[in-house]
Amino acid sequence: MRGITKGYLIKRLTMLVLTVWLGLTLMFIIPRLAPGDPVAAMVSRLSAQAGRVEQSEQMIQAWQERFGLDAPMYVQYFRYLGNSFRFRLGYSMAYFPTTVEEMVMRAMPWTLGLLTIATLMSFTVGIAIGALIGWRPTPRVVRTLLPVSLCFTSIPPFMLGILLIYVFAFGFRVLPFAGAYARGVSPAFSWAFVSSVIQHGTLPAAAVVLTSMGHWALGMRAMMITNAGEDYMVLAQAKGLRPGRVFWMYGVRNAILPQVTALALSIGVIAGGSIIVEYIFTYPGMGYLLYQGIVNNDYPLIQGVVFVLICGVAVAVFIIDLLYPFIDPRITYERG
Amino acid sequence: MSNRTTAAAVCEVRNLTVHYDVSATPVVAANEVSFDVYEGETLGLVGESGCGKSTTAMAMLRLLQTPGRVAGGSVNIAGVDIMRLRPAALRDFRWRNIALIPQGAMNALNPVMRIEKQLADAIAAHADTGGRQALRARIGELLEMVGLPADVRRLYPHELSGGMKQRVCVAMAVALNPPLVIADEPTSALDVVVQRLVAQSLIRIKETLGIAMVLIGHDMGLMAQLTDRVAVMYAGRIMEIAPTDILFKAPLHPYTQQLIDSVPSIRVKKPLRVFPGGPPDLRNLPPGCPFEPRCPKAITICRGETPALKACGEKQYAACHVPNTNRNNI
Amino acid sequence: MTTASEKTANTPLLEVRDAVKVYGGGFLSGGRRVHALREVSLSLDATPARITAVAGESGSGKSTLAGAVLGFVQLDAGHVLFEGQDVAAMSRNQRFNYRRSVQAIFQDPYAVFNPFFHTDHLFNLVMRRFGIAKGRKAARARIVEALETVGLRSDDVLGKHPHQLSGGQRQRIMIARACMMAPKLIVADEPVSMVDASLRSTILDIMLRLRDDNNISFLYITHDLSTAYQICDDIHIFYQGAQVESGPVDAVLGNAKHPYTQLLIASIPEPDPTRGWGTQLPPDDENNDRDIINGCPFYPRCPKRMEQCVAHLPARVSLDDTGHQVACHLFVK
Repeated sequence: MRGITKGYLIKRLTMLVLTVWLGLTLMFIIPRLAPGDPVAAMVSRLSAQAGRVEQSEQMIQAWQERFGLDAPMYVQYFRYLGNSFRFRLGYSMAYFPTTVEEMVMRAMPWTLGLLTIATLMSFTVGIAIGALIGWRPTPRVVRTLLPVSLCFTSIPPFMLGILLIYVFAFGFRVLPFAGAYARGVSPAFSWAFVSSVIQHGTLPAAAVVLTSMGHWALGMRAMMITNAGEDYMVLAQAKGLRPGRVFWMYGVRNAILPQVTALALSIGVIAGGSIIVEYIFTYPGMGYLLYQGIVNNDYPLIQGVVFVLICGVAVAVFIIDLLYPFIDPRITYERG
Repeated sequence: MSNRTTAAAVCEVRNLTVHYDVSATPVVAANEVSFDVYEGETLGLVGESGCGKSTTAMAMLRLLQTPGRVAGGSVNIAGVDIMRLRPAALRDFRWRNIALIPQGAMNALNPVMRIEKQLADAIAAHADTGGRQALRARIGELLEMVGLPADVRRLYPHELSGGMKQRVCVAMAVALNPPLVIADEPTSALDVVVQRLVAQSLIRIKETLGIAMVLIGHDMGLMAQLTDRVAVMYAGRIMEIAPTDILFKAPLHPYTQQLIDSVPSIRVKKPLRVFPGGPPDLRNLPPGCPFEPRCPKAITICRGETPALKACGEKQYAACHVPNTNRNNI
Repeated sequence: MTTASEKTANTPLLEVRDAVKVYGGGFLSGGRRVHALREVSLSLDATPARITAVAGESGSGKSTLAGAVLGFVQLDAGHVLFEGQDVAAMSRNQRFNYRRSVQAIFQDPYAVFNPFFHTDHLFNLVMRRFGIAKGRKAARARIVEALETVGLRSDDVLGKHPHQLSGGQRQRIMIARACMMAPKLIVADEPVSMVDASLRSTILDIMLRLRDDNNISFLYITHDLSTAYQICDDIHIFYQGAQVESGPVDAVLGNAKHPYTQLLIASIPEPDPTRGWGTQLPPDDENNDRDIINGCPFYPRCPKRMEQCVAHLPARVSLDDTGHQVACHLFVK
């Protein structure tokens, strides 16, 4: 009766596929609307490096054949769709023999780790702060001091990133300022590697968390205050429940619901915002990769990264959608 | 109802005064309110919006929301002044000694908790539940008492109708068998047929368990049907308090008379009686009797001197300089 | 001109014919179908003006009917006719005239006000829209006059923000605004259910005066049979979209025939302790209400239910020549 039904699951999955398909189609169309020929651009880049390229005309033609750009548009399109769904994203232009999927696979774990942890931390810490500020019985000292922690909210994350690098990497020299792990350490499941990863991830994560948790806190605070006037809150107090239980099961439990919706809606923004942060910290994730792609006019790389980002956001929203009926019993996916 | 005079008071409210700090001079929402609630009786607290009836009820539970605060007075239940209790003792005292059936039935239950958990909450906070099995049995018993099927316990509030939700609230209020229950307009959100069902089962349950009740309301019809005594409030003061049959047969206060007269009848067509003036402005009350500007019987003294609540008969009290005298029954 | 005079002689002011409205059951919304109106018909004569009550509990379809008359709700079948003209098929001009002739007042007048504007704004808006008065002075006079009709002094309410007014003042302003248009019909959707007892009679009294002095008819949507009994001429009792009993208010409420009407009347708490509800409870089937699609919707709670009640909805039967009709198998011959 409650929870997720097969029908809903199918419907939601169809939506997921449609979202990804729409993203793919846009990415197929947009570069083809732009003037210029990517192969010619690539050859001219080569010629710039080598000074001169022999038989550039033939080369362009050969490469167009090789990349399938001589086929009719619809063939290109379906080939492109098929390749994308098999996760074959083509060759990078700037790092030619390397495939885009190789580069993406290398970068993805870093972003996934950093973003997931930073977002979850920002969400939980922000919610906790907001809940405490918006709760009347919270001791006055706490209620006065907590808002101080939100002072970074209005700063853009990359500005805070620069500030953090300046203070902690160059000033106190306590944390590294670039990379995902130290040079001398090899990736393995060892203490040295893990601690190095944590050290390197701290500053970028802090830049994201400190600048975004204020939004969650302010939203949560407003919901807590609205919620405090509800009849069930008055009744919970009248029942003589312990304040902790009233706070948690009656207050936070209800006030958090709109926040979860907001989280699902803002995942795309969060992913987009991480690009600049990764660049500032030269963190080898998807954002940094995208930056490289843009700087080098490396279209396949840009397309590949954006494709993966679209998939990631769509899947994250999908997961939150599936979790929602478990936190709000009023939402049932019985029908519809 | 005849032996009420000998019954002991389970609750004594004395000079309860509530201020709302909304401006430099506080608004007095309840002004020196005093009454007793006797064992097992139903006392109605009736008046128009802003008369202070809900404020008084919430003050008795110490549940006033800011900017409201109790500025004076005491509420004694079982020999304990609830106004003097420290937070932990107050928590322990609540529900065990004074329970609440809230006004907004639609929103009184936590939307994300199952019914059984919300009932269990109230019980477990105050008593040894005797294990899961015993608790479940008790919840089943309570639901049966209010006429709900046992499987309601597994449901969430949004799956219940308004009447069913209000029954759950009744079950919750009597769970610990408190001596006093405060019912704040318990049926005002319900349709008339369901209202009758819920109200009658509420009365039946409280009589079976011997629980005293303060019934807050604005509907004189409901008061006549459900209460043993009625206190009429206006502008934060009690204007009249009397046994229900006497109050309806021979009201002393012109305001009580007006409240009774303003209920439209379904049996007799009578010309509409339009009463002058609107509800009192608590920020700007006239000196003397607050009802004086609207009172058809007002005389000079009413404008200068606020009448005190005084006995005008064996069990009838009124705060009026010119109470009705043409009483044909006593 | 002959058509016009014919119109006033025979055509009812408002006629609802076999109105049907079903909510839900669509592809997207899915789930339960709610029958808000089941072949509802009623008519209001043009002269003399009358107050007609549509009474029922929540879910009876009374507000849907009001919405259909005001054009907020699209019917699935049936017609709403105003002065013989189908509202759904009106020309632009006719619609403009209709909007002016049919006014509405609602339960919560606060929701209608824009909190940022003075009350004057509300009046000026309709003045301009319908071109009621020429010039500032004439307009002002018109407003003052309308306010006087509802017992308000213009100095007390004009130039104020809605939150500075009491609930009763706001409700009366809405009535004044409606009056200013000199309507023929006012749809009053629960106009007194949120006001205190003392104000209730004031507003009901205004309705009576508008009927008698200004010849304005009312469609009074209410859940309160007592006020309907006091001020209405005719009444229609609704239960879950079905029109169970209709007729002159004295006949329907003084001599109720339908078991549901009887139950409603018996459930009203009377302000007289000697006239108790009694101990006999109505059948308490609230927990297992089920959807009756074809039969009488009251079947699950009816103390006099019979087999044929499930099978089909009883037709309305006239009990006498006063117009007292009841839709119940007990009276089908």
